[in-house]
Amino acid sequence: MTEAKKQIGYTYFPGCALEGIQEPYKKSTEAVAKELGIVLNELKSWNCCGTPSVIGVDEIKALALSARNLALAAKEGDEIVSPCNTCFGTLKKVNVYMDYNKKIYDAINGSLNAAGLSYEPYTVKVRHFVDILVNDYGLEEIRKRVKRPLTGFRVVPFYGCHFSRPFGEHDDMENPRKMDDLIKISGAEWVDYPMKFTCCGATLPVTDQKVGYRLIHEILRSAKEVKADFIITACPLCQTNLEMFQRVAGNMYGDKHHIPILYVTQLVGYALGLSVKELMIDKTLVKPKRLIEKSEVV
Amino acid sequence: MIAVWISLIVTAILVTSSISFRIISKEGEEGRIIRPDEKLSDEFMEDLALVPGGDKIKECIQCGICSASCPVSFAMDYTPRQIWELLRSGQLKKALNSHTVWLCSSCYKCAVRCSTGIPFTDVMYGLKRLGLEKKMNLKGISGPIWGRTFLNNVRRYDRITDLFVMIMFMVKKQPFRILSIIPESWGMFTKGRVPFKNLMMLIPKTIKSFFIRSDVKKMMKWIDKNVEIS
Repeated sequence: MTEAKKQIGYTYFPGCALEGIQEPYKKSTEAVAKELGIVLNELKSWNCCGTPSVIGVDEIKALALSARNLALAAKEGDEIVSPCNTCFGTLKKVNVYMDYNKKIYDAINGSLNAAGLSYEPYTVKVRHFVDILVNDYGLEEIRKRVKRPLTGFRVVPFYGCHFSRPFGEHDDMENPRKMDDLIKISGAEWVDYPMKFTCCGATLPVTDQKVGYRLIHEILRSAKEVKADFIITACPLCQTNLEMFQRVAGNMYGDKHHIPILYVTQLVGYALGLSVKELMIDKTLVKPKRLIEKSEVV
Repeated sequence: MIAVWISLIVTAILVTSSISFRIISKEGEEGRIIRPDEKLSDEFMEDLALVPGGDKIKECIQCGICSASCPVSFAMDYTPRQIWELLRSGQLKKALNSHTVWLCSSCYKCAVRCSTGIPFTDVMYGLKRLGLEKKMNLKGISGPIWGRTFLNNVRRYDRITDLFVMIMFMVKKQPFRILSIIPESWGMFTKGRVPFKNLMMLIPKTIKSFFIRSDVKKMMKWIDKNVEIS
């Protein structure tokens, strides 16, 4: 990370989910950033990113919602960072769409003008928080600061679709490895399994239960087969799905699951020696008992 | 005997030619077969030009990697590959009436793997919107209600309070659904993860929204008035 970037910091877009039931992700992201000395300035008066659920109903409105955030971020700097996969993907989409089509460009800028804003495509680069950790800060730098390695834990990653699809700029589109590396340097045993980059069903567990539950069950079963202690993810939606519907999805197939779902920032923060309370690991529905016990011993 | 054969062949030729003649005459153009929803398909193709790479769908080679990659194709009545063929062969209504369109969870696996480079997920978004626009039969599909609840919430409060959207959706669509996840909901509640703070904030925001127009509201209103494409 360059010296200038260290001082100015990044414009930070947490997203709606992190304000609601996924507060642990927000708190742990901010704690890790603070510990590593990454400055995150939260974007003022941000709005919903215009999620895929909205795109399916009204695309221009969804893109306009995204564009407003980017227009506000353009005043602060040339980069915006989001820890949420969905926000990351949707914000990125606006640049591509506005650049491609004049009609969309006019419609979005027209609506932005109504609010006294304007935006030119590609003036703001959208980035993922994991990308900042691995590429800007550097794996070696984090490794040097590890104080409480997670030795003896088998950990599997679950990336969440929009982590590098469809644009795949910061990681591979079929087989991303950023979170694998973060697991490895945290001292835990990284375990490979087939469901690493598949779909958790997004809103399907709510809108079409049977289909959604099957997807969730397959992921959890696969993690169980490789004897994983817990799953780590970078997406608030995946965390909600895998955690909230873990029991019901298992019941549907006559199976019982008990796998804690943690965030990548909670894992990194734990390795950096931050307290369980600070990272809100104890607020996870399926408690990672062994992990919490270990932190109390050390 | 030969005369009988010749007459048979002649009648056969006459019958087939009359059938093909009928097809041509109905369409008014030579060499074209009737396609039921051709107009609708053409309309949709025009809309697809707005999507980066959307016009590539004409080049689909029907290899089926989209269906093979799709994590939810097991539940679809038409697999993605079949949907694209329905679209190109002018039977779009069949595609719009199927369950497939609203099952797409937008994971982008198909779009990334397609050898022709067709952005299938974005085409699927287009089909979702077209189905809503043409008021297709969406019985038993709750995707649109979820999407609209989301959008209405954003319009009103700029941001989404996930709990509020969830409650609104369940009231509208699945009132008894919450019973199945009582232990989890209780866990969320006791662990302090239920965003009561945000829920309480909705009350002053509702009052405020009568008097003050936020940026988002102005933008949405402008789009409602001036933009025809969706």
